[in-house]
Amino acid sequence: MSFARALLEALLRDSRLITPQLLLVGAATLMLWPLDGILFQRGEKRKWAPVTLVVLALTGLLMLGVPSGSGFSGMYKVDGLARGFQWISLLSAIATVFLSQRMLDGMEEQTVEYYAMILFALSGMFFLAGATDLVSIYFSLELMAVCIYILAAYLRNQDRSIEAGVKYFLLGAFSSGILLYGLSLLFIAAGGQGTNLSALNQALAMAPKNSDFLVFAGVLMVLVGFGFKVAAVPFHQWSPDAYDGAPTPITAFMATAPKAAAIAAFIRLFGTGLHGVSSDWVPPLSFVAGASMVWGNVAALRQSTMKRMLAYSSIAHVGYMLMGVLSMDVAQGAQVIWLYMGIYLFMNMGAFAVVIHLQGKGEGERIEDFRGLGRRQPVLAFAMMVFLLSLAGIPPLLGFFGKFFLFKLAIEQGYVFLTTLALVTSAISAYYYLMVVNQMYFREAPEGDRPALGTAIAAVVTAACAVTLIGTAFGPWLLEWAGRIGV
Amino acid sequence: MRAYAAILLLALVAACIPVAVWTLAYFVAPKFPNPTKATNYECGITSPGEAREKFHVRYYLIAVMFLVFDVESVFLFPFAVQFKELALFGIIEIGIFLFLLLFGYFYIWKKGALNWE
Repeated sequence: MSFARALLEALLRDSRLITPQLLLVGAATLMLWPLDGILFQRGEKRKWAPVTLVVLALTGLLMLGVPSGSGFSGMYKVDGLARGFQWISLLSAIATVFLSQRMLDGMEEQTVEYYAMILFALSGMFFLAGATDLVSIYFSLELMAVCIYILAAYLRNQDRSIEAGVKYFLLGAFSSGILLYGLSLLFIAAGGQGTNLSALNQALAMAPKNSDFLVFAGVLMVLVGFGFKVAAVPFHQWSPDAYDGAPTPITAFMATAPKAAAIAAFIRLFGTGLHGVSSDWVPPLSFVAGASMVWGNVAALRQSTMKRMLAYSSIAHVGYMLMGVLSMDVAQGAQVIWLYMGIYLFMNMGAFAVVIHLQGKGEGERIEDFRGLGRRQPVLAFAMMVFLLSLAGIPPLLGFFGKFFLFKLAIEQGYVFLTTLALVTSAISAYYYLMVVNQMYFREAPEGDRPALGTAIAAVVTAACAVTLIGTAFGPWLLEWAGRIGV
Repeated sequence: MRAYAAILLLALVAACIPVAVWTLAYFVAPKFPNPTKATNYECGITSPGEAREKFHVRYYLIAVMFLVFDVESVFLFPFAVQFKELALFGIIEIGIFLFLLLFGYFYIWKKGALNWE
């Protein structure tokens, strides 16, 4: 009897840690079934957008009140790392709801499911950022991924969208299998005693010598699984197609929120759970990071559509961020990655907002479509230039500071070759970002009218541009501010 | 690794037996083929066509629902056995689990996925 009572008390006590997730899941559930037919009839579904925004705002409020601590038998933990990446995911979801309005209205595809899936995916990301157990990492990863598959294939009348969703789903399911197999090997190698990351780390340190190969195979498989999820070379093949075919607001979402959550789990798993066996994963992860920088940037040079270019650029940015995972000083690695990811969120959302604006009703996303934007819509073109230069990491913009702190840490940790590679490839990346700037300012505009800038898109562009410019002024102090992210 | 030698031996023997039986049957069995004999066996009725054909999407819906409720019972049995020990905690946990399943069921019901004609 006392056993069950203790469980019940633990459940009630620990549920304080997950109040934001409870709100997200509860709201999405109510939206899907009982409320959908009652509140808003067919044709009024666009009213779900403000409801979703209210839910997201309340989630943010609840997050402020969540106490730090560990719970659910050590499966979930709220700390600086979890909070930091949860905020990034939340901001990304809010921006996505704003950016989606024009596309959903234009294609008459407003449904409650779209918003509910964003909320469910966000709850998965929240769990993933705080997961401290092999089982909870896997479950939250799946909760997040399944929702994103559905969102990628959301425009079910477009072959491209279906293709994106199916490709993403098949490769994602496959990589989940590899990840799960790797996790089970690690579980066995650690003696099959428990799946908590801290316990795993201790058990692996004391594992008998003959289980070395088991650990190595498990670590490699986990690396492959996570490599797929964050789209790092050579496990990136799904990402350009999925980014290209998915509805553009969802592409913006996919490039930021799930990536932030997966990177958080990456840091947590490799930094705390596998910290003791780092000699097994540092060489392969260095290769993955280097290959992502090189191939992401080189392949981006040859793209003619904006979405594919941003997809490859996102692969390259993941390569940079993985250098932070390589850091043996986990807390500092987490800080610089968080800073980088947060900065990347604003630049990326801003750039995608401009793409969505030019895209209109789903057509015209080639880089040539940016011709003459500097003359037609100077403010928008200026904002786009800020985002692109910041993505390229040109000083003194905000993106430069993200790269600077990351590269500095990598040098301090002794990854000189990798950092040199990162510097060279970010110089290459400046070429394709500047190519778009060139199109905007030095090419003649084609005939025909551009659509007016919608309020929602204008809001996102303004917010992102303001953060990028204001952040630039405070660049040198950013790392101190990010010091609150602890593991 | 020595402990696994027996399993390896078992696997080898298990692989040899069917090969031996097939080879024996190939040489010993009388062969009088005719078209009726060569068709697929489908519970004794005349076969209506190829096995490789498109299935209606409903088939997958039903299959997934069957799977979901089948797995549900896998979780319900241990819960029922340990009902007294788990007390209120068990009821809350199984309640969450059942709610999630039933919610999905009601959702597809409301969506009309179960209306066939």
